[in-house]
Amino acid sequence: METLVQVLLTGLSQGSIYALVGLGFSVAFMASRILNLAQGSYAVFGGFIFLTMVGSYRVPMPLAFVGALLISALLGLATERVVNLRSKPWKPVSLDMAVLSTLALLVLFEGAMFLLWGSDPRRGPSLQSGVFHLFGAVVAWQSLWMMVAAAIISLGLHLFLKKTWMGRAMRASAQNTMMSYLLGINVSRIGGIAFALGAMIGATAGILVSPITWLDYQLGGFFMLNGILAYLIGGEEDVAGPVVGGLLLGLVQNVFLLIPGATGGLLKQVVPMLILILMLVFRPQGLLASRRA
Amino acid sequence: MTSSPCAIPLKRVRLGIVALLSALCVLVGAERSHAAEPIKIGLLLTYVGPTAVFARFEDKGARLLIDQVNRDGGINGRLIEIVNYDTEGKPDRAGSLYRRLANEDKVAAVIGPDSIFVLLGMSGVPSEVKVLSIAAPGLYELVQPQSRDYIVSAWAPNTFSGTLVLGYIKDKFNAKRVGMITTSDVIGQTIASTVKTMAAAFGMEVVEVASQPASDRDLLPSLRKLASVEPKIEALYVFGSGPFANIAMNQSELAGINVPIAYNGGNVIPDLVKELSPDTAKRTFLAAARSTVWSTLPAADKKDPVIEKFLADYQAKYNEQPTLPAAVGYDMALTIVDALKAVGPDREKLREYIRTKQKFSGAQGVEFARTAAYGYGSDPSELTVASVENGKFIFRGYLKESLARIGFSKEAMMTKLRELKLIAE
Amino acid sequence: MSPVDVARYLMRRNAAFFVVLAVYALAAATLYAIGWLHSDVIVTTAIFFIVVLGLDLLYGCAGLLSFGHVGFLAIGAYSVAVLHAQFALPPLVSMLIGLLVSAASGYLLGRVCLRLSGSYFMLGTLAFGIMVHAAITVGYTVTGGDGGLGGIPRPSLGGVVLSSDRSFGLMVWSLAVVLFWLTYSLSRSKVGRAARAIRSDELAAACLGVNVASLKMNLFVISACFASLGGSLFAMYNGAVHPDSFSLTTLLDLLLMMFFGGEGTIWGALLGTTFMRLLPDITGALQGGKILFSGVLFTIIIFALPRGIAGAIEDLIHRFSVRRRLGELGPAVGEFPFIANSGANSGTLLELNNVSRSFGGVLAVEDVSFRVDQGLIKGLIGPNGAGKSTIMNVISGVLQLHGGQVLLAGQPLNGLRPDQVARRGIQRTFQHERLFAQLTIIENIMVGQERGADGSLREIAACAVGLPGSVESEIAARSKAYQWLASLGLSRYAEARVGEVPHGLRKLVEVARCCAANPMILLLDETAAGLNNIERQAFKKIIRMLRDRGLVMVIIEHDIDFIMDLCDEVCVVNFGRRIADGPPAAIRKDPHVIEAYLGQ
Repeated sequence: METLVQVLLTGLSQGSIYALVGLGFSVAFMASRILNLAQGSYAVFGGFIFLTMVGSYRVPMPLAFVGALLISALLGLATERVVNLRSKPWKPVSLDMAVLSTLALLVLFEGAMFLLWGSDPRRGPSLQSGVFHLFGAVVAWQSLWMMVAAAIISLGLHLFLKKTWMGRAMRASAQNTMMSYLLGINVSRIGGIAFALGAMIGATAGILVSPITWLDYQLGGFFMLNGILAYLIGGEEDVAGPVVGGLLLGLVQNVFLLIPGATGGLLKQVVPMLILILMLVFRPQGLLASRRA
Repeated sequence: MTSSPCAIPLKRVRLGIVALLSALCVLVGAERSHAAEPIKIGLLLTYVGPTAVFARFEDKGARLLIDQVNRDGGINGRLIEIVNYDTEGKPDRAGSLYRRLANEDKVAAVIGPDSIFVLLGMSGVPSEVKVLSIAAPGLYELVQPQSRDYIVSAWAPNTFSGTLVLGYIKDKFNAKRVGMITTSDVIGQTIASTVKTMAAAFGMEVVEVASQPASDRDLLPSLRKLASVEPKIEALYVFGSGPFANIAMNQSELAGINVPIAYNGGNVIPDLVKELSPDTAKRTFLAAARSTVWSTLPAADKKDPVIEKFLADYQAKYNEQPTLPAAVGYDMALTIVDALKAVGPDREKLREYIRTKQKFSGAQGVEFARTAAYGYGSDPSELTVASVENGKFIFRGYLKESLARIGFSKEAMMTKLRELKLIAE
Repeated sequence: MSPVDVARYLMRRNAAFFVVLAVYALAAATLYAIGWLHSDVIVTTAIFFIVVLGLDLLYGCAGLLSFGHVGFLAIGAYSVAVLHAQFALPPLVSMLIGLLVSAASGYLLGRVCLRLSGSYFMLGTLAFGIMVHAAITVGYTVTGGDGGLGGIPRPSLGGVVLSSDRSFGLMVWSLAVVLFWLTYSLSRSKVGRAARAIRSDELAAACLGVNVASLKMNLFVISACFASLGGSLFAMYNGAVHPDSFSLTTLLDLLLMMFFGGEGTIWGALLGTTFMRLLPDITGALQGGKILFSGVLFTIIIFALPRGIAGAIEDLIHRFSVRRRLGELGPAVGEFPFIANSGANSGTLLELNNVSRSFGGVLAVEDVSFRVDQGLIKGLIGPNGAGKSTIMNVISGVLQLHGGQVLLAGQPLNGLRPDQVARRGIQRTFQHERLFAQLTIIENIMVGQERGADGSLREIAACAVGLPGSVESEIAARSKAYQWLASLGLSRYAEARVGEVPHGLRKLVEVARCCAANPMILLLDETAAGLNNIERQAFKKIIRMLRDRGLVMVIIEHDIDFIMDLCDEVCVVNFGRRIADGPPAAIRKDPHVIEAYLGQ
C-alpha cells in the first residue's frame, strides 16, 4: 500500500516535469506547426545556468531564476530565428527543414553544454529541502513544488491563450500563416514569442527538477522525448493535452515499479514507446483532442 | 687533372673506398636508427562522454610512467611511443581503432579500452588481431572466456572485491539481512546474483533486490520497497554509477533506511562522491585501493616504495593529487613496461609473460600476478575498506582481517572465484 | 529497338553512376596510398553507404523523413548476433532472416505511420527506433543488453572466410556498387519520377495515376531492408553488437550523411558517408568540442547547403547546361499529338446524378446532376464558393461524395481513389498550378505519359534493374513528351526546372501533362487564370484542337466570355445547387443566372 502511494506520488511529480516540457513544446507547435526537437535542451540549459549562478556566483535564487529564464527565452528566440532563417511569411519553411534545424540545434546545444559544464552531472539548490510523509510515502518538498509549479503554469498559460490577444494570435498563426500575415499579424514576432515562452517553461522544468535528478549535458534528448510523448498522448488540446499526457506518462512509467524483481524496471523503458505506437495506430490525435491529426 | 698512367685506377680505387665507407656508414647508421626505433604502444581510451573523467586520469597516470621511462633512456635504448586514439564511447569505433593499432600502427600491446561497455562491444577484436589489451574494466567477469586470452584487466578494486565488503559489514556490524538496489540492466542483474552468492558464503542473506533503470533519478519506490521488508534489513547494498548511486545512497535515509551501506560501482573519484550527504557518507563502505586512502592508512602500513614514488611523481608533474583511475593508468603502463623490460617487444612473448609469469606491485597497492585462467591477477581481499568524509576517501579497515574474522578463508574465496567464472578453468 | 540502343540510353541516363564511381575510386586510392584513408574507414563507408542509399530513396525521392531507420539497422545487426549465439546460424543466413524481419516490421510500421501527416510520421518512426533500442536493452537474456553480444564470425563465401579487411571490404563494396546501380537507376526511372511527384505534390501525383499509398509503402519497406542489410554487415565486420551503436547519435550521423552528401541525388550518399566516416579522424584533436562541431556542421549544411554537396554540383551543371531563353515569346501551338481514347464511346460519357457533398454541417454540393456527352465541351460556372471545385474534386476522386453517383461511360466511380479514377480515364488540372517542382518540365509530362506508376514491387524491380521493356517504354515516353512540348512551342524549356518557367507557360504544361495521359475526359479547373492574352489565345486554340480530336472537357472559368466562346453547353451552380444547364446563348438570358451573378 505504501509502495503504491509512493509510486503514484513519484509518478505525479515526474509527470509534472514531463507536462511542463510538453507545454513548452505545445506552445511552440501551436504557433508555428514546427516540432521543436531542441525543446528538451532549454530545460537542461536553464537548469545549468541557474545552478551556476547560484553556486558559482552566489546570486540570490530569485534573481538567478529570472536570469536563467531570460537567457532561456533568448535561446528560444534564437531557435525560432534559425529555423525560419530562409522563410518568408508567404513562404513558410518546409516542415522537414524546420525539424532538421531543430535537431541540429539540439546537437549544438548539447555540444555547447559539454564544453561549458563538462560531463559531470550537477544539481542545483532546491526551493525547499527535506521531505514530508503522506500516507506512508516519502515525498520531497521539491517534488511538491514541481507539481504546484506545473499547475500554476498550466493555468496561467491557459488564461493567456484564451483571454489575451497575443495568445489568440498565436493560435491563429499556425492555422494559416499567410492569412495571419495578411491580417497584419506579425507572424515572425509571434513565432519568436511563442518559442521564447516555450523555452522559459522548459527552463522552469529543468530548474525545478535538477536538485532531484541531477542534470547532465545529454539530458536534452531525454526531456524532449518525454515531452513529446506527453504531448502526443494528451493530444492537441493546447494546455490540457500536455498536462494530462505528462501526468499519465509519469504514472504509467512508475506503475511498473510495483512489479517485484527486475522486470518492472525493464518494462518501464519499453512500454511508453509501445503506448505511443498504439496511440498512433488507434488515436493519433491524442486522448483529449477531438479532431484527427 | 694530371693524366698519369696510374691516375685512372687510383681514382677508381678512391671511388671504391668512398663507396665502401658510405655503405658502411649507411649500414651502421641503419643499425643505430633501427636500434633507436621506438616501441609503439597503443593508448585507447574514452575521452568524451560520461566516463571521460576516468580516461583523463588514466591517460595522465600512464603517461607519467612512460615519460619517466623515456627520460631514463627507454627500454634497451628504445623509446616508447604512444599511439593515442579516442573511442568516443562507441564500441564499433573502438573495434576499428584497435584493428588500426594492430595492423597499421603495429603496436606491441594496447592500453585500454577503459569502459566495460566499450570493451564488451569489441571484445573479440584483440583475439582477432592478436594484440594484448591491458584494459581497465571493473567487470572483467562479463568478458567471454574465449576473449580473455587477449584481454587482461588492471583494475584492482573490481566488482568482486566490492562484494567482499559485505564481509566487512558482517564483521563490524553483525548484519545478516541485506537489501540490495541495483540497475535493471544485464550488468546490474549480474552483480545482483554475484552478491547473493557471496552473501550466502558469508552467512548473510540478500532478502530483497530492487531494480530500476540506470537513468532513473527518483529511487524512492525501490528504496521504500526495501524499507518495508519485515523483519527490517540490517545492511543496504548499492550498485550503480553516477547520479544513480548517489541518489540511491542519499535517498536511503529519506526512505527510512539507516543501516550501513556497502557500495559497489564506478563512483570512486572524489568528484563523484562529493554529492553524498555527510551522514550517508559516514555509513557507506566500499573497497578501495591502498593508494586511494594513502594519507589515512595506519602508519605501519605506509611503507610502499611504488605507491610513494607514484604519489610524489604525480604531484610533481601535474600539481594535483592522483585519483584511483590515475593509479590504474599507471599500473596499466607498468604492466607493459615491466614486461617489455623482461621479454622485449614481441607481441606473443609479451602476452605470455603478462599472462603467466609477471609479478609486480603497482601504484594501486596490490600485487598483480596473473595466470592464464585469471585475468585480474590480483587478490581481491588485498584491498582496504573505505568510506567518505568531506569528499575524501578515508581508511576504515582491511578486507583480509574482516574476512578472516568471519571465517572466510582464502581457499573459500578461490573456490568462489572459480564458481563465478572469474577464474576460467 | 535494338539492345545496343537500350544499353546506350541506359548508360547515358545513368552516367553519374559511372563518373562518380570512377572519380571516387581514384580519390580513395590516392588517399589510401598517402595514409589518410584507413582500411576500416573504407569498409565501414560501404556499409553505411548502403543504409544511406535506402534513406535517400525514401526521403530524396519520396519525401518521407524517417527517424526510425536505426531500428532496422539494429534488427539486421542483432539478427546476425542473436541467431549465431543461439543457433550457430551462419551470418549470411541470419542476414537474410534479418531482412525478412525488417521487411515485416517495416510493413507494419508503414501501415501505422504512412497515413499520418509529416510531424506525426517523424515521431512515429522515431518511437519505433527508440522502442527497438529499449527492447534490446530489456531483452538482455537474449540480446546481451548493455553487455553487448559478441562472437559473430565473419561470413564465408565459397569456403573462404572473409576475415581480412580486404576480403570483407571487397564483398561489401561489391554489394554496395550493385545496390548503388539499382537505386540510382530506380531514381531516374518511371518509379523515381512518380516518387518525386509524390514528394512535390501528393495530390496531383495521385490524380495523374500514381498509386501513392502503394509506392510509399514499397519504398518504405525497401529502405528498411537496405538498413537491415547494412546492420547485418556492420555486425559481421565488428564481430560484436552493442545497443550504443544504434542510438540517437547514429540517427544523427545517418541524417548528416544524407544531407551533407546531397539528398535526392543518390550519388551524394557516397560523398556524405565518406565524409562522416572520415570526420572522427579529422576532428580527433577536438575531443570535447566534437559534439559542438557536429551541431555547427549540421546547422551550416541545412542553411548554406540545403541540397548538399552533390546537389550543389548538380545545380552548377544545370546552370551551365540548360540554355534558358527568357522571353516574351509565348507558346506557339502546333500539331497536337493527342490520340482519342478508344474507350470513349458515343453518347453520354460523364454523368452526375444527384451528387452531394458536405463539410462538417455545410452542404457544399447539393443534389447536382448534369451530363457531358461525347464530342462536347461543358462549361461549369457559378459565383465564388458555389461548389464548382468541390464538384471537380468529387468527380476526380479527391473527395468522396456523400450522396448520388458519378458515372464514367456508364460505370460508377464511387469510392475510387484518385489514381484509380485517373486510370479509368479522367484527368484534371487545378486552380493553383501543380507542377512537380522536383522534376524538370519534360519529366513532368513524362509522368503524365507514363500514367504515374502503379507502385508495385514488380514495377520497381523492373525499373531498378533496367529491363529492356521498361527502358524502351521510357525512351518512348520521353520522345512523346518532347513532342508535346514541341507542339506547344516550349521545347526550349524541356530540361528547365519548374521554377524557371513563367507562370502562364506552366499552366499550359500542366494541360499537356494531363493530355499525355490520354484521358477520356479532361477537367480544367480555372486553367486560364493568370494567363496573359497571348497565352489565353493559345489555350483556346489547344482546347479546340483537343475537342476536334475527340477529347471531352469540363471547364471551370470565371471569364464568362471565355466560356461562352468555347463551350457547347454550360452548367451553372450557385450555393451548391444547379440552377441552369444548357447552351451558352440560353444561359446568358436565364433569369436565375443573372440573379445569381448580379444579385437582385
